[in-house]
Amino acid sequence: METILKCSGLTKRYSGSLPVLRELNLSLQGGKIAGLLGPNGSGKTTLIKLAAGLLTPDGGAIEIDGQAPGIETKAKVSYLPERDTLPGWMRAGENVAYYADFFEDFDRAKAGEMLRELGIDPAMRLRTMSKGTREKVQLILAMSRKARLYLLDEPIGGVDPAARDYILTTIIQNYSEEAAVVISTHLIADVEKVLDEAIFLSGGQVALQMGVDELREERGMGVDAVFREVFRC
Amino acid sequence: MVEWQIDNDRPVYTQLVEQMERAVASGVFGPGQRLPGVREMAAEAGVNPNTMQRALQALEQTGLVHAKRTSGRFVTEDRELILTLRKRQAESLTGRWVRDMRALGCDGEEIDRYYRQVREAEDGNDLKV
Amino acid sequence: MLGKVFKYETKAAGRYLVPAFGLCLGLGLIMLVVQLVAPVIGGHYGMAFTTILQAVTSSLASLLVVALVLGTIGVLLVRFYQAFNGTEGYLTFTLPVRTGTHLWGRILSGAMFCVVCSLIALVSMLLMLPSEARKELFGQNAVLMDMGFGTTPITMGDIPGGLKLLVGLGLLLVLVFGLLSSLLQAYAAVAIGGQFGQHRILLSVVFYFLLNTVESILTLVISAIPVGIYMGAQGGIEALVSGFAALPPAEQIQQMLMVWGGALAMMCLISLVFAVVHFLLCRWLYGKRLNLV
Repeated sequence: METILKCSGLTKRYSGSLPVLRELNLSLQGGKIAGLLGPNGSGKTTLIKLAAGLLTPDGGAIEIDGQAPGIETKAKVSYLPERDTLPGWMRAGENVAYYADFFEDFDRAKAGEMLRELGIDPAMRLRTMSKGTREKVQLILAMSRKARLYLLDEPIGGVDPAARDYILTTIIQNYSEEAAVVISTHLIADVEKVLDEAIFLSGGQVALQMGVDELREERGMGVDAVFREVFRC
Repeated sequence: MVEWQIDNDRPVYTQLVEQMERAVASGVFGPGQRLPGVREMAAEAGVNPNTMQRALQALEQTGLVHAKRTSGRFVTEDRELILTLRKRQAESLTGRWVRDMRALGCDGEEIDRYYRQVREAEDGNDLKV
Repeated sequence: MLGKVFKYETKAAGRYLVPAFGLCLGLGLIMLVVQLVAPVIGGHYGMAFTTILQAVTSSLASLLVVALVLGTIGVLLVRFYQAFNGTEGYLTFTLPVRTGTHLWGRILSGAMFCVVCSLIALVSMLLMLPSEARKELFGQNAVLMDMGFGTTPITMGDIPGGLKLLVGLGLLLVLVFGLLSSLLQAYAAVAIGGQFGQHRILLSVVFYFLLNTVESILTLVISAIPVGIYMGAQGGIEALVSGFAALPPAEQIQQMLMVWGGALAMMCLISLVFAVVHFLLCRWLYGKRLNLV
């Protein structure tokens, strides 16, 4: 199994304050669905944005398929941001066409089907949609790509339980041995059955990276319970 | 279809094996029946596909399931094997119950009595339904 | 990729600009009709009515043109800010497109809109202005350059027939180029503002004024050098003016055109250098120093 995401001594600080990521080392193979877990401010989103090429490292290196973030990696990384970043003036269908135009690995038919399944009208303008619907559109756009690395930042945070099931099912059905999926979330209990690995971030470094079943056997409890213990306030 | 009941606090792999064995033993999957693909089964159970794959491979090891190269996975046609599995599961369920009753402080006679009472009530309910 | 960036950026800005252009032309046509009708009606109410109407339409015409130009620059600037510093930046920078390509797409689309804007401004003015004002600005007596010091101003009529079109095109080009370099300067300010975590809009405005001031001073200083040298070689400004006044009108015109052309060319050259610097700055800041909050 190839290493798809690799961080070596990765450091990132914001405006001269303490570093959010401190000499972080991480390695993620293809065919794995990993949960990126940690309290707020632990650097989950920072790590994901570094992998997506939206931030530049202050030290160390981050590589996707052995390359530094750039236009080649962006073509094979699918990023789902935590916030709503869709251009409100576009219609849903136009946004799909936009993605199809710029990303070679975008599956237009799949996106169309997912819109239908979720009852979203492609002719609707994004700014007229409810927040939940817009988040579903963002997810559809991210999951309709045949990428090497999927970076999902809080994919189930703002949606209703039915939509959560749909999202997790989509992630499972989308599974490929060739791709790695990183799910950053604080809703661990909802997501942990879908994970291969749990990556705990603490103090700007990887505190623990382990297979989830291994973790369950070792600790005699689920990932959510382990998290609560490790990060007890 | 299998009514998956996966718990976060125990290894998912173990639970998948247990519940698949239960499904075969109780006839949810008949002998020789073709199983759905790994991804489909994982999606139904809401679990990681690699874990489902490992569970199915474990079932292949015990002979409960076998894979035909391009056609997928099939439940064994070996009815003996399935009956043995069923016997084992029944014994395990019963053993657990007996141990629990003993832990409650019931002696052998009470256990028999409670068993009869509840069994008859359950059968009565079944008839009503 | 450049074509795609160009296409989508044009669509995004066009949503606002195309209606604006249409409105401007529409108003121009309305004003033209009003003017044609005015003398007919005015005849009943006397000259005063026609004069007032003409004054009103002239002022409205200039206001409209100014609004059009400012509006175009405004829309292009807001689009740039949205796409690079705003939440749309998440979409912009996850695309597999080089920073340079992103910038070129916006520059080319902006250039196209600037050309269209200039043409529409021109046409609108032609439509809206009453005939006397029109002749003043575009006719034979349109003043191109007035050196003062008692010399005769150069008018459109002085330019030999064939060159008139060239001069017209040249002026258009200079106008568009001026708009574009202002835009790029603004883009650079936005790029610098984007480096900060908070108050980015405020900082962009501040840096815009800073850049503008610094670059204006630099332009003045740099262009003053050759002018100073030339004047010194000619023996001072009085000698220059008296020498010039002594020339026959035809030669006066030639000299003025050369000076004028030379000055314009130098300004354009300096602007070009600044534009390149701005482009490289934007590319560096959004490429190697990107930190999207």
